[in-house]
Amino acid sequence: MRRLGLLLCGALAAWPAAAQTYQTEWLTGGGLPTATDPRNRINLVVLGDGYTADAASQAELTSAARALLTTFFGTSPYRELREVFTAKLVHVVSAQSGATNGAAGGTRDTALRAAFNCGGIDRLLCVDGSVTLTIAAEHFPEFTLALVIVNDPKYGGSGGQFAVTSVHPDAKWVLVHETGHALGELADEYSTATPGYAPCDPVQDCWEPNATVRTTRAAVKWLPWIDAATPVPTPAGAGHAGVGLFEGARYLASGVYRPTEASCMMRALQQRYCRVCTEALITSLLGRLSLLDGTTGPAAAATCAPLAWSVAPLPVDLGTASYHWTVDGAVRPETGPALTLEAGVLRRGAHQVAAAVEWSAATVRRDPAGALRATATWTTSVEVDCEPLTVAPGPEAVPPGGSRLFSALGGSGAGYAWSLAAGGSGGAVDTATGAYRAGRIGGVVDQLRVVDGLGNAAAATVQVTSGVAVSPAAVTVPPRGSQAFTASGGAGAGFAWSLATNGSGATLDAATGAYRAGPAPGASDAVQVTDPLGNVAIAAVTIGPALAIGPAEASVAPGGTIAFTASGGSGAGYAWSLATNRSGGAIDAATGAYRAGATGGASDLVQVADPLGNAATATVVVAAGGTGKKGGGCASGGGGGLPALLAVLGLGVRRRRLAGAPSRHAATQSRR
Amino acid sequence: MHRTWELGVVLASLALAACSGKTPPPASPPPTAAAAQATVAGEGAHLLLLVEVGAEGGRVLQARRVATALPRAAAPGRPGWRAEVVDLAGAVLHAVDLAPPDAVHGEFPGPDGALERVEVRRDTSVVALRLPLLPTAASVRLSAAPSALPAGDARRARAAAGAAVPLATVPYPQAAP
Repeated sequence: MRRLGLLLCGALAAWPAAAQTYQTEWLTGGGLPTATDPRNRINLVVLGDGYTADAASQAELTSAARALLTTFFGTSPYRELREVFTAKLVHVVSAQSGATNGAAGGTRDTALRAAFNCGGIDRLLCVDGSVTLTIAAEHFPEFTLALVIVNDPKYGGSGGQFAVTSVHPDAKWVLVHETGHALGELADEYSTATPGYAPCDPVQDCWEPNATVRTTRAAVKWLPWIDAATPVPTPAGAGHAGVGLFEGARYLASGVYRPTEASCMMRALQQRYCRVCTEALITSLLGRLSLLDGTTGPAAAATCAPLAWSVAPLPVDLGTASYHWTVDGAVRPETGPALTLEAGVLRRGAHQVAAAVEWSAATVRRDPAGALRATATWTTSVEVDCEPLTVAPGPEAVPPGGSRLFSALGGSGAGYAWSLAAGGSGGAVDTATGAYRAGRIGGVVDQLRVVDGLGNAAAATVQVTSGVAVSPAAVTVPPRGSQAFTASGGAGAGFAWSLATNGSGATLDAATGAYRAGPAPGASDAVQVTDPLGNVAIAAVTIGPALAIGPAEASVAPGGTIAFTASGGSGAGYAWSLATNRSGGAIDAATGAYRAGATGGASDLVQVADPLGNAATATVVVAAGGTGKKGGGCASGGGGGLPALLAVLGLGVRRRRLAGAPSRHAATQSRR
Repeated sequence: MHRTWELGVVLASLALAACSGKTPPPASPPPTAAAAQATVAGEGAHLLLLVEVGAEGGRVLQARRVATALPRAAAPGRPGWRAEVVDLAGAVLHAVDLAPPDAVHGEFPGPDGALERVEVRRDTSVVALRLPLLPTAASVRLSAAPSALPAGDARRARAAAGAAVPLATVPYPQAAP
């Protein structure tokens, strides 16, 4: 083998004289390819002819080349496949500008000997193939296709071994058309006669993907693109805008068929490539390349380190790539471009790993050669048996603030490093020991991760249970009323109760949560429960209104009656009494119905009490002489007179207005 | 059919080492713990041979070792030229089909706007051959399908009916020409 290398060295060094060396530049960015590594790429070499040595002329070449490639890469499918190309410009220097028989006429001295009227055809622009390809090979030996830009404004160009175009604004479309031949093996779809051109083989059919002599539906090579409703052959002028089987192609008006009626670059310039031609270009271009730009994978494994394989597909914009991995024939769940197997997954011995990659492209329905599919295979020799890295205990449920000690087994056997891959609770784990403590947020999952000294990783899931809850969470309690609170969650036991706020003067059993409100109406208390892990919950307690009596003050004639009512306090179970009884009155203990006694000029004190120990009083002035004129309350009976009537009607009347004398016992009755 | 990624080391890497004046490196030691081996598509080498072909035969314009893997050929089957690499015994080691390199065509809108094709055949053409590095290769034979040559081409008349028309034979550059 070394002999071959030496022979090649000698041979290549002694080969015919090299062409002149010119400056080159990569044509990248601004919608052009970004790559400059020619490996596994379609490499375009662009040469200028008729550009002189001065900087301005060479700058024009750069501009013309970029404009040409901008048109090229703006055309689908080159646009989607742009990154599988590279493009290098060779600044070929000519003695004169223009081309022979060009816009200026006459002969021009140019490096590639560009000349119109090639073969006597005015617009056919030819260059010297030997010089052109020699310069291309010298400056970009990896080239796939050479493009020549001739610095002459006359319309023209040519195709063949390489594509040639003038700088006429419309000539670039000729070049894009020509690349359909050169890169996609596409046939011309127009019918203009070209005498002498070899016809399609009637048995083998046309070799180009976009021309056929077959007329039965099943035999049409682009059948997947023809709708079922489209007749085959497809009549022209019948409004079939999609793909069909239209007669006339390959320089013949009959007997040869094309995919579309008129909408294809291969039939008319400045059109798009039709779907069939687009598909053919994609499969042809990708068929020249490896669909995978690179692979990585181990040949052997002598330790318990994790094993990783990966593939890097070509950077194409065609759709979605799918990945299918198998190990020893068994399908793996991984669906990405990489596969990693931890220690212990593969036992000692040789293992076959394979990755199948496939692009799903809406622009390709027919890919018999598998241009959009690739497989990578590896044989990996595992030379040591390893125990898989595991975590103990397994999935755990831990209350907020709770702790667990996790341990790792297997893998490298040492050098374990712990971390929280997901810590919704706000917990923490000791990197070295695996000691875990949940955070205060309950009802979430924490994910612990341990990595061994060789990079194997394992995980453990911790369900952080709900935190402490108190029931009821909010309650209104009458003054001196009681409430039983219960706690749940958190540590589940050992709860301690306390009053975080005690506006009412309440009491609370620290062990049981038995609460008794204080006497202060309208106050707010906060009952707090704490579990042994420090989890806390608080219930809000609002103290209800005080026990009240209505009316609070009243005047009544001797023997008159008042119906007292009570509100607030416990809300029920009221007990009425006369705390002071100077009139000789009486009150119904259950209903609060009061009747003044016969002694006028005295006052009674009505009291109501609830079962909680709350009490309220009302003063009743019993008018002198039984006139009841001093009465201002809800009085009735003898001497009630006008005030009593107004009270019944709900109209407040001040005693002072009736009696003409002020009284601190005056009361206002309100309509209920 | 799935294409298989080829992991083999290309023959030409040894030639590259030789060109650099170094002996080929010893075989790599066994991979250590799970050391990943990377492959890059297109790594390798091939021979680029520019051959000028005329009525009197062919001559090599340039032979160059190219530091990328041999490109995959475009879809075969096109009737045209064929290049065959043969050894001293005449056995074909490698073959590749080519579009006729002597044909230069143009496609231009005619008076009615429809495209028209024109074609001329050059008496002398040049073909860029990309060939594998083959230590036992001796020569490269170029031939053409009769239909790929102009009707009046004298070489076509000399060939047996239906047989490929020999065009040129040039040495495979194992040594200086």
